[in-house]
This record gives sequence, C-alpha cells and structure tokens, in this order.
Amino acid sequence: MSAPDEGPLRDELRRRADASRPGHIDLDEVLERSRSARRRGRNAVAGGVASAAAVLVAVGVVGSIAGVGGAGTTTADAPVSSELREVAPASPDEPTGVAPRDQPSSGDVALGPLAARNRCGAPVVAATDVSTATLAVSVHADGPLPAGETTEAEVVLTNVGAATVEGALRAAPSVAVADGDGTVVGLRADAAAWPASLPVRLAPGESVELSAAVEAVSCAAGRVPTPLAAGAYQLTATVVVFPDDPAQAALVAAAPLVPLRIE
Amino acid sequence: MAWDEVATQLVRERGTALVRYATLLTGRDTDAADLVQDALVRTFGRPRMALTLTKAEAYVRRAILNAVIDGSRRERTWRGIRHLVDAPAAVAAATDASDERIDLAARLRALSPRQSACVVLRYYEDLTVDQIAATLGISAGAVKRYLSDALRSLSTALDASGDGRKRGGADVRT
Repeated sequence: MSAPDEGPLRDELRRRADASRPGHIDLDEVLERSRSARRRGRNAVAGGVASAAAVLVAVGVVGSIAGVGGAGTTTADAPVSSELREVAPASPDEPTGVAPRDQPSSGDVALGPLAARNRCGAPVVAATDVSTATLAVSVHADGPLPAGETTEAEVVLTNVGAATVEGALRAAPSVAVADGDGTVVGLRADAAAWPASLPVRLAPGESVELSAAVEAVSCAAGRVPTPLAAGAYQLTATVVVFPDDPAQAALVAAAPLVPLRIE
Repeated sequence: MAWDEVATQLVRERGTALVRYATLLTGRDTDAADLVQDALVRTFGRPRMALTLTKAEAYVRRAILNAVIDGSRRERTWRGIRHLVDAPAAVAAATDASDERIDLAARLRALSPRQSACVVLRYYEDLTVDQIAATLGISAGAVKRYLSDALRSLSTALDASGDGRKRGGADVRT
C-alpha cells in the first residue's frame, strides 16, 4: 500500500499555524504559580520531616546501644533498591540492648532499606510486585549511551496503593546498570546533587517524575573509573520513601529492568 | 541551571512554538496560551532533578497533550448528555464538504488527541518517529500506529487535495 500525499497535510498544518494568533504567555504568572505549587508541596510535609529527623536521632541512639552499626560502613544517605514492598522488620534475634521492646524498631527505618539496595557485582534486586506494593517505579534512559559517558534517566514513582503516601526522599534514585545476566556492573547514586530531604505526597494513582544520573562506567573498577564495554545492558532504579509517620516502615521500590545499549 | 532559569528560557525561546502546538492540537487559538501556561506550571511546579531545556519542553508538550485528552474526555461526556438539556446544535452545511481543504481541516479536528499530536509533531514539527516517541513518552510502535490510523482517516481528504489520483492505505515511514 502506498502512503497518501503528505503535501496537503503539511500545507494545511502550516496554514492553520500561520493563521493562528499565538496568545501571550505570562512568564511572571507561570513562575509565581510554580513557586506556589512548590511551596505547597514543601509545607505539606514540613511536619513530617521534623518527625523523621527525630526518628533519625532515635535511630542513632538505639543503633549505638544495640550494636547494629555493623552494617554501617555504608553511607547513611545511600539510596537502596529492592522489591516494591515495605522493608521487613529486623530479625527478632538481634540484640536489642536497653531499648524497650514495645517501641517500633528504629532500625527498620534506617537500616532496612540499606539491606535491600543494589550492590555492585550482585544480582539486581527483584522488581516490585505492583499487585501487592504501595509504590511502583519505572526508569527510562534514551540510548544508546556512549561508553564512559553519563546521561539522565527518567525515574517515575507512582503510588499504586489505596492510600495517600506522604513522606520524603532522602537520596536520589539509585540507578544501576546490569549485564545480560542481571548482575550489577554499574551503579550510580547522585547524592551530591540531592537535597537533604525532598518531600513527596502522592495520592493513589499519582506519580512524580525524578531524574537521576546513569553512567556507562564499571562500578567494579575500584578508584579508576573504567568505561563499560559496548553492548546490550539493562537498567533499573530504586527509590526509598521515608513515610512521615515514624511508625511506618520505609517504602522501597525497584523498577523492572529495561534495555540499555552502550556503544 | 535553576528551574526558574530553565522556565524563563523555555518561554522566551520556545513559547510561541508551544502555543502553536497547542493551537494545532485543539483547533482553536483562543485558549492555547492558557493551556500552555497550565502545562508550564505542571512541569515546573514540582521538583525535577537536573531539568534541561530539551527535557522541560518534552514535559510541557506531554502536559499539553494530557490536558487536551482530559478536555476531550469531558467534551465526549458532555456530548453524551447534551441532548437531555438542549436542542441539537446546527450541523455544518454539507456543501462545505465540497471544499477539499475545509474537508481536510474538519478531518484533522476529528482526530483523537494522540493521533493529532503525532501528526502535528511529524508533519509540522518534522520530528522523527523516535523523537515523537521520546517527546510524548510512548513507544515508537505506538507512534507509528497513531500516525497510520490518522493518515487512514485523512486519506480521502488528502487524495482530494493532492493530485487527484486515488491511492491506497497509509504507511508510516520513520
């Protein structure tokens, strides 16, 4: 089958565009309304951030008493990845020190997500099961990506649960590059460019779009960055949301793998 | 670059193009600027990391399309219940159809918002299928399908407006 002549279509579109009288965009109004929207978002969770800060202090105290700092060679703000599920409570066999037993385990908040993150050389964590999860995440990066280069990945966090999620992102999405076998070969957490805490409020079905860096550099190269070899890879991302309610465990979401070509 | 600097540069450099895009999608220019302003606020009213000009424009175009789709849904709902409260509106004179250009314009307006967006981006903005897919956040296959369906819907008017030879269906080249 042949295509119809596209000339008249192009002509008609140009005629309509030329005939239109483009209205004026009020830049000041755009900026002011955008600032207001951003302020509303911040104010909505300001109380939650204060609560979370209080919890972090408690975590530090309990952690030092209970000796759970064994996992503590990792940075506190490192993003994590795992299935899209709530982080499981700490093992009941763990020493609890003098912390009252009936208090929520502070370790759930600080250490649980860290235990669920992607690690260089390890298999990627399984993608979130959206049928049971509260949060879902997807990742996309335009390819192909030149070896050794960095680009931006678009990470979309969606509330797939039935209730509104209110909390904060304390680290940038962690974007991992995996080889064909699903082993993490590149890992990037753009923590330096991330604010200390980014409030997030998602109604059921609502999404927020985030950006994160993805780089075609091996994570196993030690201190000398080595570009990943050209070929077919996979991309995933993980996001952790710390709910405003300190009684709730951190929510960890992992994106399903998507193809990424490095050349 | 801070988000407000990106917004300022986007409005100054691409504002007119975005309003024209909205005009072509909706078929009217009366509220196109308002549509673009709302899309800009949707884009810049929430934090986005490392927002570039190119990425911001894609966000805005997506937001414009989503607003048009939402408006289209509301319009369909209204059309479904309008007969309950009002007499049918006068239908355009059938003789208008004798003018091929008017016929093409009418068929363009009758496209679905996504088909219309793909047509505008392909044949007005001259984007490739892959670029359209990236802009609208859909797959290249979906873009080809929307374009193919749109061209099929427009084919009669296009043939009449063209050289008069009857042609077959619609293929989409990347």
